[in-house]
Order: sequence, then C-alpha cells, then structure tokens
Amino acid sequence: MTLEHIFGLTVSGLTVGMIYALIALGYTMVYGVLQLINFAHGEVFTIGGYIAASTLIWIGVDATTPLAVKFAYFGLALLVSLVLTATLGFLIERIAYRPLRNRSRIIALLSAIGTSIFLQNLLVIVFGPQPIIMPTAVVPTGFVEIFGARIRVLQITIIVVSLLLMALLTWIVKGTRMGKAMRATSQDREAAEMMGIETNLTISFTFVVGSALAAIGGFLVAMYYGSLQFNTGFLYGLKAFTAAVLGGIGNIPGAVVGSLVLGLAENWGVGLNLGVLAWLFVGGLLLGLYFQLVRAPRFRIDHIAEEFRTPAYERRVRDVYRFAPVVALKTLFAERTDALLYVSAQHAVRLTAANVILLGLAVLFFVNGDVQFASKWQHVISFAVLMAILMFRPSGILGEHIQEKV
Amino acid sequence: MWSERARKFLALGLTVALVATLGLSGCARDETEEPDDTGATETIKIGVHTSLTGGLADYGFAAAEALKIAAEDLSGFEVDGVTYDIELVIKDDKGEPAEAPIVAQQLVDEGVVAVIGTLTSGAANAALPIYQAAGIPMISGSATAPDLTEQGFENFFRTCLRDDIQGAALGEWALELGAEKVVVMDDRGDYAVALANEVEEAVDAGGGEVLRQEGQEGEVDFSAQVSNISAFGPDVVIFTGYHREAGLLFKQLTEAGVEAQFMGGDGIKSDLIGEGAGGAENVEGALCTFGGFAQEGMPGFEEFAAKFRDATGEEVGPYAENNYDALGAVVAAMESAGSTDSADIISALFEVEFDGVMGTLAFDEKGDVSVPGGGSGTELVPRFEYTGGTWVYMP
Repeated sequence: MTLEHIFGLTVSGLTVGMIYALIALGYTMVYGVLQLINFAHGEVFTIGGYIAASTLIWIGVDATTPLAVKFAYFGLALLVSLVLTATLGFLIERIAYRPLRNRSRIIALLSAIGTSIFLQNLLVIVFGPQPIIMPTAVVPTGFVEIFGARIRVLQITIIVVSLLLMALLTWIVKGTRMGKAMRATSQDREAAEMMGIETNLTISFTFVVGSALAAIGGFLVAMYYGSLQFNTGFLYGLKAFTAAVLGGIGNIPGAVVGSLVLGLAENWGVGLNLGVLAWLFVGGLLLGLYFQLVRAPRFRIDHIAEEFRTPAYERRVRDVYRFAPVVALKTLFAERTDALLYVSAQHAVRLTAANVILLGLAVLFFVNGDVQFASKWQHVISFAVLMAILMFRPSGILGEHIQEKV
Repeated sequence: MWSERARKFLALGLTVALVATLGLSGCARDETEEPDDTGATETIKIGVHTSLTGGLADYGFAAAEALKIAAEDLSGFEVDGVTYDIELVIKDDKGEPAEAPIVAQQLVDEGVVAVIGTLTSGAANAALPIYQAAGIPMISGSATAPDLTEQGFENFFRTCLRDDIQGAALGEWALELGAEKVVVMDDRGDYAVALANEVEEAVDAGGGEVLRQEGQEGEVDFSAQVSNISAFGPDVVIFTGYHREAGLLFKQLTEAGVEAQFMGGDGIKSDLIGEGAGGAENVEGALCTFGGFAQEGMPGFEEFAAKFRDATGEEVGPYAENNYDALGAVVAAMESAGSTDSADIISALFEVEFDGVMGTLAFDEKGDVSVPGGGSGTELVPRFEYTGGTWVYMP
C-alpha cells in the first residue's frame, strides 16, 4: 500500500464527496424548510449539466478558442444554466409541491417521485437517450503530482469551488435577512407567517438556491466525467440524499460532512487494504475511549443537582463509566439504584460494547492486513458505514439541530 | 386561481377529448384487422422483445430496424397453402431485467407465435420462464451469457456466439498482445460477470497475472477502481460490461495516467463508446471482440447493409444481422414444420438448417447456433479496433 495510492484515493473520495455535497445541500435545505424530500432534485442536477453542456456545444468552443474567450463562454454557459435551472426549481415547487403543501406528507412525496420521472423522460424526449458530451476544449486537463499521485487540476477546482459555494451558502443562511426568514420558516412556518415573514417567497427562494447549487454540481460533473446521461442524476440524487441523511437531514454542515464521509467510504472501502483501514478503527477506538472515560462522565456529573454533588458521588459516576464491565453491570442489576446512576450504567455498557467491537475490528483488520475488499463490496461497505453511524447517532452525524425544532 | 366552473368545464372538455381519441383509435384498429379481400393472405404476429430506451438503446434500434427489414423481406411465405404476412409487435424492456417479465407477459397476451429477443442476457434470464410457460419459442440475436442454454429451457435459441467462446478469445488475444498483468473488470450484471469469469480463466491459464475489479452498471465514478488499477500497473485493462461505463472507465484511467491497452467484449462494440468517454479520442485504439460473426464473408451482408442504410440512413448497428437471421430461423421453422403453432416451431427449430444473411445456420441440441462445417471455436470470434470514432474490423 503506497502513500501515492492512499493519497489518490483520498483526493478522488473528496472530489466525489464534494459533488455529492452540492446536491445534498439542496435536499437538506428543502427538507429543513418543508420536511419534504425533493426527489426531483437529482434530475434538476442533471438538467443543470445538460443546459451548460448544450450551451457550450451551441456556442461551438474548440481547441483553437483563446483562453480568455473560453473563460467568457464558460461563464456564459454557467450563467444560462444557473438561471434556467433555478427557474426550473422555482417552477417545480410552484407546480408540484405548493398545491399539495397542506396535504399529508406522503402525497407531496409521491408528487416528488412523479416529478422526477417526468423530468427524466423530458430529457430523453428533448436530448435523446444517448449521453451528451461536454466539449473537451473547455475542460482543464492539467494535473499536479503530489506524493507521486496524479491530482487533476479539475479535481482541485471542484473541491475549491464547492468549498466557496458552501461558505457562500452559510453566509446566506446565517448572515442575511432571507437566511433568517429561512431559519424561521424551518422552525415553525405558521409562527413565522404570523410574524410577517413571507413564507411562500422564502420557500421559493430555498428551491432556487438549492437548484442553483445543483446546476453547478451538474456542470462540474459534466466536466469531470466528460459526459452526462439522462439517468445520471438518479444515482447521484440517491447518494446525495443518503449523504444528507447521514449528516443529519435538515442540517447544512451535516450535508457536507455526510457527503464527504460517503465519498471517502466509497473510495477507501475498496481501495485500501485492511491493514490501513484498521487505523480508522484505531481512531474510532480512541474517540470512543475519550467519550467513555472523559466526556460522558463529565456530562453526567454536570447534571448532578448541587445538593447531591459530593466528591464521593462524582467518583461513583466516574467508576460506572471507567469500570463498566463490573461496576456498571452491577449497578444495572442492583436492587436500588438512583436514576442518574442507572442511566449512566446503561450508557456506559453501550459505550463499552462499541469500544470492544471497534477493538475487535481493528485487531481483525490488522491480522488480515494484506487483504483488500473486492470492489464489488463498494456499496455494501458504504451501507455498513451508514448503518454503523446511524445506529449510534440516529439523527445523523450533525443531526442535533433537528431536535431543537419544536 | 381558476373558478370552480372553469375547472369543471376543463375537466369535461378533457374527458370528451379522451373518449374521442379512444373511440377513434378503436375504429382505426378495426379497419386494419379486417381480413384481406382475397382471403388467401393471413397475418402472423411475431414478438420483438428488445430495448429501445435505456443505456443500450442503440443496440435495440439496430435490432428493431433489422427485424423490420427482415419482416418485409420474409413476408409472403407459404405454410400449408396459406400465405402469411409478418406483423411485428415491438416492445421495449429498457434493458432492465426487472422490466423484462412485464414485457414478456404483454407479448404473450398479444398472442405472438414466437419472440425475437431479448437484447440482453439479464433480461433473457428474467423473461425466459414466462415464454417457457406459454410455450413460445424465443430466439435472441444478442444474449450471449452461457448459462441461458444450460438450464434446460427447451424454447430458447440464439444466433450469436456464447460468451465462453468470446471470453476465451478475448483472454487469448490479451496474451497474444504480450500482456503479463491484466485487469479484468465487470459491471456485476449477468452478462458481464459471466464474460469476465471466462476471460479471467483464459488469462490465468495462459500464465498472466489478473487483478479482478467490479464496477456497477449505471455508475459514473470509478475512482476507487481506477486507483486500484493504477497501483497494479497493468498492460491490458479488459472491461466486460457495456459501452457507457466502458467509455467512462477508459477516460478516467487515461486521466489517471494508466498507460494500458483497453479491451472489451461485444458490450462495448458501439460507436457511442466515444460519447460515453466524452470524445472519441479518449478511446482511440481500444480493442473489442464480438459475439456475432465476422461480417466479411457473410453471403448476404452487402445486400442487407444496403437495405439497412436505406431504411435508417445509418451504418449497420451491432447484432443487426443476427436479429435478421433470428426471424429467418422462425420462418424457416414454420415452413419446414408446415405449421404456425408455437410448439411445432420449437421442435422444427432444432431440425432446421437455413440460409440467412450470415450463412447457413442451424441450432444444436441446446439451442446455441452452430455453423455447419465451421466448428465454433475461438477462431470464429471477430476482432475490432476503435479508430476515428468507429469500430473497424481487424481481419
């Protein structure tokens, strides 16, 4: 296992993850505001790429075009794609979701799936079933070698552009009036309306921003892979949606984290041999031990009411965590235990179990260090990672924000 | 938005329009089904189970167009004193095994006496039990998975070569090119896995070192596999799936700096591979084998190719002539059996020897095509190279 191989896998994992993130943000924003899973979002992404690519084809860029002109065309294609795709996002909400907004959520979901099928077929009718080719003249082909791994300029571009867009989005949500309105609508639509917020406008704005991000994602994907097909968005949409759930749906930083985890899991899972993957479990184990021995007891102790907080009692709580196999189990099966100790004991046993599993996996992987997962396990591994994370954090990696909601 | 009354009017209008269309189309159908005045010519329905949309739409297009030409050429054959015209019932399964049984049932319900199809092996596996239960013969021009004729289905025939022959030929070819390290990658579909297994076996047997990788049909990103392949440093990369994924894979490999000969089976033998790769230059020089026969030396090919160009304005697509001859086989079987009954067609297909576009063809006891006097070894497998945006035959 060379450093070059590991580094190459990491960069491609991050690139794919960033693309997932651009789509996942649209899913998560709409979910945050409407609690609706906008299944048509994957198609919005494809259409964004199609519009950009066909604009460039229509302009007719080739290798002889001077660089400055190329950039101008490039910007024009992006602009056309952004405007049209954002309009599409607006129309989807206006036509497919708004009339159903006060019906049960499952009806809106059906409408979303229907919209997705409709858009996919629309693409086939307009552009045909064959893939659309991105004019290669506009795709940067350069690469740099880092640690011996070949990193394409385009990969770096995708990562940087995505980071900038995410920063911009964070600023919109946290720093502008519209963002404030979005957050308010997301917390309680009726109350926001009573406070004079135009929720319809806010929701439309959310769709427009989400679609614009997807359009940029579609453009980047068309450049990265050279072509797009009418059904490309389906799988991307599914993965981005998974990433959004993994990160905690409704949570914007969560969508990014979830996407990166998924992108890396897909690449590392079948690219690294077990000896290297074992270090991930070692890292997980260290984190788990930190939780069990430091963070969790401190959290519990902070919750002891003032009048009971004696050094002896604090010690008992700490011991429950520290010596879980003995003390926590004893506490669980004791006839009379107070509530705090009982809850702590349950928690400690769970954490211990998780740490033992992590330790076991780390050892197992180290012992079979030379083995590598066959690449047919790619999606199985991604799924296993997903399940493992959701088992311990049902609301997703950064999913607390949902619980804040009333 | 709209008033209640306007909505009601609209609904009423739409209903009327719908009823009118249904009524009209009903009338139209009645007219066509009226028997001919002479009474001597009857129409016989043959099903075409192919993929007109989805990732393999170009293969399906070639099959459907070839069959339309065949139906025109072969109509007017005589069985038991009655002259028959062929009516094709063309259905699309999108190349998806999940859709195939539905399409199969529709064709059975239409009352077809025989089916030409399916396009893919995965769809064939899914549709076969339904045609078997209905007792309808199924002749595929392009389903190459070996297991299709190994499961004891009596009603399945094919006019293309099996993948075990093609796989062995592909593996041997790689070794001929002097390859020592070979990557064999499939897309986890029935067809690709079977072909990849055969290739791997052949390369193994020839002393080559094999790295096996798997992609996923419909997937766009192969970065993990590309990193693995790049670390392995192969001389040859063989992808046994279809052209869409092959194009993407080869492009990503080139960009990652992998300098290997790219090869594939019949699944990549579509000129569209260049589009999937974002431009033909990305797959220039790729090699592939084919499950059909070499078009050079086919007795009826020139004539067929001319008709195909006239009808479609395009060059003959993959497996077009195999599909043409599949219909030819059905007609020959009906003539020799003196019956248009599905069961009689099946038993006659095992016996019949007929002259098609590809030559004189017959089926063996499993339903695989056998060329009399030609054996069916790897030497029959034609080779192609991708140059200037199209696959060129390598004699």
